[in-house]
Amino acid sequence: MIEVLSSTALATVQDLGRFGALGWGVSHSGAMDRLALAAGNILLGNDDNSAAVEIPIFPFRVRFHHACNIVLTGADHQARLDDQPLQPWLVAPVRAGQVLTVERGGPSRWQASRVYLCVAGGIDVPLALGSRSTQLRGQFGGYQGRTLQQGDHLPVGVASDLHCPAGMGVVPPALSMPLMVEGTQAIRVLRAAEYEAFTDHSCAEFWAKNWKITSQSDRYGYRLAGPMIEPKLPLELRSHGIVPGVIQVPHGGQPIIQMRDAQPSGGYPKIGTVIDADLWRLGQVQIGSSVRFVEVSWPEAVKALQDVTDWLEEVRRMVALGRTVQKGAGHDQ
Amino acid sequence: MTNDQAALVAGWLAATDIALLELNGPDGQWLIRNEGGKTTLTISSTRPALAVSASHSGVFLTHHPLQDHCLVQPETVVKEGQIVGLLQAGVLLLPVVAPHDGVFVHYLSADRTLVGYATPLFELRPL
Repeated sequence: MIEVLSSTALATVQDLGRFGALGWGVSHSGAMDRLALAAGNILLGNDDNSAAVEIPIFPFRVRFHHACNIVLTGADHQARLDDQPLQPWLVAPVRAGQVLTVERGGPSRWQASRVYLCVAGGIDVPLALGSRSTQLRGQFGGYQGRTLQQGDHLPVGVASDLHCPAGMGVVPPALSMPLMVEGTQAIRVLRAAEYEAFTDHSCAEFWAKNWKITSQSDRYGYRLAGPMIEPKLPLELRSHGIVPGVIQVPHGGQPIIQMRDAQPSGGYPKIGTVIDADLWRLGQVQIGSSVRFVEVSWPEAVKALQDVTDWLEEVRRMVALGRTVQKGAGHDQ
Repeated sequence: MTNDQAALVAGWLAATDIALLELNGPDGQWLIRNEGGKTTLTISSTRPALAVSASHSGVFLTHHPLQDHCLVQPETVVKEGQIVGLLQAGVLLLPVVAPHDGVFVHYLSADRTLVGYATPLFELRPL
C-alpha cells in the first residue's frame, strides 16, 4: 500500500491506455510518456502495461507501507527517499515506512515535465474497460476515477521475482533517441486531411516556426501559440473521429494538439498529425517551452515507430542480461 | 569508535551545553560540534585509501546521464552500497557501489571512459 501525503493535484494512475473504446466516446487515456512507463515496468519485472503514478505537479510525497522496489522514470526531478537522494531511471529498494518526496528539479540534460512512480507489482487498481488508466472525463478507471488526493491509499500488486537489483537502470530514451532542431524539441508530423486547405504561407510557417505550448494545455490537449494559420477559404466540417496526435486549427488560427485524454471526435480542420512514435516526446514537453514540427512521410513514420519498438526490445534484452550479470556478481537483492 | 557510535554520541551531545567534542583514534578523528542543540559530525579517516575496481566492463560514468554533477563529491562520507558511479553498456546502466562505509577520495577513471574488468574506478578511505 502506498499512502499519498501531498495535496498535489493532477497526479493520476495510468497504464499504457484504454484501447477499443473510442466508438463509445471513451478516450485512450494512459501515460503521456509511454516509454517511461514501459521501461520502468521492464526494470521492475512487471508487465509493460502495469499501472504507475503519473506526476505532473510537484512536490509529490508518498509513504510506503511495505517494502518494495521502485523506479522513477520520465523527467529528472529532485527525489529523496527519506533524506537520501534518489537517482532517476535506476531501481531503488524501499523499506516499509519510508517517505518518497519528488520536487521540481534543477538543471538537467533533458528538460521534461512528468515523472512516473513505477512500483514492482504495479498499482493494483481494478480494470475498467480493460485498462487501469484514469478516465477523468468519465470519472472511472484509475483510483476512483479521479486525480490522487492526500490520504489516498494505493494498492500494489504482487511483484515478480524478475525485478532488477538496486541501482540498475537504463539510459532515458530522450538521450538514446534525441530529436532536436536548432536547439528546440522536434516533433515529427504527417500531413492531415485538410492540409491543402490552408494557405501556402500558413503551411510554410507551420513547419518553419517554433510553437509555444501555452498554459492552456493538459492531458486533453495542448494549445499552441505561434504564427496565424489561415485557411484558403472559410472551412466548416461536420464532427468526425479524431485520435491523440491530431493537430486541429480552430477559427482563431492557433493549433490544438489532441493528447491522451482527448475526446474521440471534433470538427475543426486538421493540418497534421503527430506520429505515434513521438507522442511520448510531446507528452514530456514543459508548458511554456516550444516545439518545432518536422514533416515526415508515411514510411518514415512507420520506421520511427519501429525504432521505438526496437528501443523497448533492446531495453528488455539488456535488462535481462544485466540481471544475470548482477546475480553473478552477487548483487541481487 | 565506529561512525554509528559517533552519531549516537552526537545525539546525546545535542541535549548538553558542550559546544565541541573531539575524539581521536588510530583510524581517524570524529569532531562533533553542538550549536544550540543542532550537532554536526565531521569524520576524518587516517586509514589508507583503497582502490575499488570494475567488476565488469562498460563505459564508466561519474555522472548520471541526465545530470552534470558527479554522483559523489571528494571527501564526502559514503555508505556501503551507495552508488558512486555507473557502468553503461548500451542502454543499460549498472551501479558501481561503495563496498563499505568510507570517505570517497576521488575518481581514478575519467567520466565516459571505456573500462575493463578490474580497472580501478575510485578510491575509498575506510572508516
